[in-house]
Amino acid sequence: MIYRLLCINPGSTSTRVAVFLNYNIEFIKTIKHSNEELEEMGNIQNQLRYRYKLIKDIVQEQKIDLSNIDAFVGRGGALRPMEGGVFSINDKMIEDCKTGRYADHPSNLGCQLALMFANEYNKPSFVVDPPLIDEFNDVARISGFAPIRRISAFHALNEKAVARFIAEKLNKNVSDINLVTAHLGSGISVTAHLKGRCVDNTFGSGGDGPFSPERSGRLPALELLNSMQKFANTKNAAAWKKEFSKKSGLVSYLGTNDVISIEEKSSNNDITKIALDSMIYSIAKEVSAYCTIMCWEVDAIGITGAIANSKYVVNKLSGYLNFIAPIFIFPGEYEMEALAIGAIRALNGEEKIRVY
Amino acid sequence: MTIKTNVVLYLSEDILYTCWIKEEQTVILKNSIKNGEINQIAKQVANQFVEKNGGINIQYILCPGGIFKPLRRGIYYIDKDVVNEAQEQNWGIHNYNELTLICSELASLLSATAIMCDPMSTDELFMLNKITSHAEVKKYSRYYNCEHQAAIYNIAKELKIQPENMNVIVARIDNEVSVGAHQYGRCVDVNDVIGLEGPMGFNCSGDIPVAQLAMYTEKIGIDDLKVQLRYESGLKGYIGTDQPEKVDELVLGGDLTAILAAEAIAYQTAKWIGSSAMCLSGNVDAIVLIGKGNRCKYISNKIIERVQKIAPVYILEPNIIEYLLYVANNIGSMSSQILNYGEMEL
Repeated sequence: MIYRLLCINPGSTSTRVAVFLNYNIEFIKTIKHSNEELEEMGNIQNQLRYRYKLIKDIVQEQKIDLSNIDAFVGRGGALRPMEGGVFSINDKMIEDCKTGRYADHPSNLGCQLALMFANEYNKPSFVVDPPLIDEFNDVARISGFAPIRRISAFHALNEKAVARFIAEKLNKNVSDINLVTAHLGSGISVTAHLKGRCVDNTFGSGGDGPFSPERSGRLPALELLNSMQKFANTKNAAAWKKEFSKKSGLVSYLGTNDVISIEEKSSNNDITKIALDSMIYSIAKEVSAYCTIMCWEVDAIGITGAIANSKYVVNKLSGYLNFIAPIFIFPGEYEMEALAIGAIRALNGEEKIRVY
Repeated sequence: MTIKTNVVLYLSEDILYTCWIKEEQTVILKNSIKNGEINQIAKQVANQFVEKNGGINIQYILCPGGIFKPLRRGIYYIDKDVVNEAQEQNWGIHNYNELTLICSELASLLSATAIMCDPMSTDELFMLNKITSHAEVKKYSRYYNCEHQAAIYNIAKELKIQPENMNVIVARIDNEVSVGAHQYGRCVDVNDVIGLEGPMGFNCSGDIPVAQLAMYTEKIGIDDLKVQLRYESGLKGYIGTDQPEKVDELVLGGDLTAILAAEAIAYQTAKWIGSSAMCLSGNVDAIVLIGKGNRCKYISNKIIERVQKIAPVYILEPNIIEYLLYVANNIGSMSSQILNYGEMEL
């Protein structure tokens, strides 16, 4: 059976649109939005009709007849923490996204846009592996301080897709293998895939795991509290929290989050090189740590995300980790492909469609 | 000819151990100790020693070092600078600082030289392990170095390999948990237990997701939170006890919270062991588990389950007194020259 799918991925400064004919991309476009035009609209929800019109115009420019689309697939949004999979879009989901009940995030528009098209053309609509999926084992929720629980938040769509790609390369089913994946972008997440379930992951902007170009990872708790006291006159708790997601990691040392330019500028033993190499080293440490979740029985390690385009980073990481398991590199991200593949699995009946 | 001996001091669970060799036998004095009783306890121990050893002179009195500025590995004179720093506790609060002061006082009473070995702030970290996720938050190497070294000394003897020829991961599971990657005798990576980095322990939180922690300071003052994280968290914060035997009892009784919390210590410790394995490039001769966690079978079994494929796992209670006496009796040899604290800057 051949399916034509429209996939929609709303981000904070762009909307990505792709039309797939089964697994092949017929058309893909990233529509950029300036901060000014989005800010003028106020909250995220107010951007819905604007983005809808842009998508429709661009698809029609390509002479693609929307009535020939078999299903509409959206990314996200920030839905109730739950197991991953393919979900049909329903009123409850739309309500949670409209109100930003679990998080105020542009991906909340994903399911709404998909449903608007689906209703107009009378076709099914889905979301695949939304960002807050939670497949944690209970032990992973324990932080060490009872009032605070570790939470699942990672690059679910991309890392789950990469896990499936690796399984395919190994000629196995994802539910039969153990993997650790590391998504390396402006945020970094490391995830343990135990027989297909993401049983633990680092929550980059929450301050867990390795640091990234702009996000904090783990910090010694007492030293953090000492610093909060030291800088109490200039920064409150909320300011620190904001810094953890935008001004930590490499940015806090080097003032930039551009890994490629950092890589070009770094020379032996200067702070630039030490900071970059430390980031890579901390990723390797985390991946290695996560292998113990599977009792060191790991079939493969997957490295993905924009920074996986850097040969320097990938070579270093591979050198650190190749004693554990074969390493597969998937540079960039595969969110659009993941949306299409998920929908095809659902339409083919290979995967049960879940109800939110 | 004057007979000279060396005395070693060790502190564990509020008991001060004072030990020396007499006629090829190890003599051990035990005194319970309370905070702030430095002079009294030193006098008490001095009297006990003289009573048992009339006529014997002491050359060195040695103890594990407390928390000071980052130091290179070695043994150090406990001089005025060390005493001042131990009193001030500027580099971290720990009862080993007090032990350092007792050692100094006792040496003064018995006309001996006070020495500390393996300070908790010994820093041999790889450069790449020295920076944190945020430029305004510092990374230190502060851990139970003496206990780690004693474990390595013990396992090296058992395996008949020199410590400097081995790669060993030592995990001390106790009130705090420290996991060190020891590469040919150098501790290249370790979590900062005093800075609350690393796995949760029996009563200590370890590191926790920092964004949530920062926001939590709006509910409770930072000073109170520090105390809570350091002494009232970890297993104790979940199930109200930090006694390993009690944890096993609760687990056997099917207490689900105890099972989960005990599993969490093992899970988090195993993760750090996995991370240490990477620091050693996968070349690990032994993983050694020490500390009171070994008295909780559930915890040690769970750790073994997760890490035994990395390297053979050994559970042991290192003979710290034997190790300290070995160090004391080797002072002055090529590898054990005494260092001056003031001259050592990393």
